[in-house]
Amino acid sequence: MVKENSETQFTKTSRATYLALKSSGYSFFSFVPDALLKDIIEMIQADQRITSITATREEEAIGITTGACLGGKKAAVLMQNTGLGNSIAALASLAIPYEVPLLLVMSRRGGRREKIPTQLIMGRAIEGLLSSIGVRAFEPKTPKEIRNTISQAEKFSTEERTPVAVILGMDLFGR
Amino acid sequence: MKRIDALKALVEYCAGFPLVCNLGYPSRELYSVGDRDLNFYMLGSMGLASSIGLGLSIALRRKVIVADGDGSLLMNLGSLATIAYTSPKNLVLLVLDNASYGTTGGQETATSGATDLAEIAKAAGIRSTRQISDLESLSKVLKEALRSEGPHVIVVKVEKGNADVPEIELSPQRIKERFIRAVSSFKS
Repeated sequence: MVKENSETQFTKTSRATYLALKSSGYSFFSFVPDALLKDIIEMIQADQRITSITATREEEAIGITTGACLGGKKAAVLMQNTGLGNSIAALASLAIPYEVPLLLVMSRRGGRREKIPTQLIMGRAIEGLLSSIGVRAFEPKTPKEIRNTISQAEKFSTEERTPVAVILGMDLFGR
Repeated sequence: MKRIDALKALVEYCAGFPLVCNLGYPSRELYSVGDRDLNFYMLGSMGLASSIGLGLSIALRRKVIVADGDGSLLMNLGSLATIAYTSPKNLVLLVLDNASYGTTGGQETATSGATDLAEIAKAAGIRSTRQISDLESLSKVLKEALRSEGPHVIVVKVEKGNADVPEIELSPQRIKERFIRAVSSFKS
């Protein structure tokens, strides 16, 4: 019973995120796979109107999406929050100074129910890291908030010409 | 061949094509021999030239040229696998290989030893790979690459050392804005 509920929540959050990204106009994605984001990634890959590229590292994904933005695409990166560590230099010396409006969709590991100790430190550090390089973070608390939050993040990113992060916590996925 | 001469040849043969250039002296040399709106000068993010070129090539119908370096590509070897897997027909990746970290004092890279970037690209799955070391071959190979389906990886062996050229007097925003305008008619 509990499993069924959490599966429903997982699907609901994944679907809401995918639809919100589409309705906000994102048509180009690069990602490093993550277990929480796996359904979102599947939906993106199955969508004929979306281009998606699997990157070997998160900073590579930032380079690829920056290139796509230069060519006129609206682009987003999907990653686990641990990948933020691999992204800082690319954000600080490419996306931010060149004013590239990337959307970074980040799953957040390391919450109350986290079982893997190596996820805890980055889980705590994520807001501090983002704010130290001036990247604003948006975090929906319920599946219902996802559409609005992504739309706000998109608006901010486009208007301010800067990358922004949308953080999706484990709770949101029922994990 | 000096790197600045290879860059001069690039500007000559790639007129009308967008060019993403690696940071440091390569971008400064390119700026001094042939500044144009279609040059995207990197001022940071070492290693990402080929990735920026990959994303750009998917967004555009036009051939996209990348002038990468050996130290930079060694930092992002995974990019070769991603390029092979994605296989954009319009991407031409040149690696100006001086076997050293030229901008930071000339420290040797692994290509000064047995490492062969054209062979690495081939093993990553890129079918069209070349290594050349003279200007005549560069012009020939570039012309071929511009009219045939890629992705192409061309390793251009160049001499160590930087030309005495000034800093780039453009802000990152200005580099981006004029580049976006210049490529806007090539959107796919």
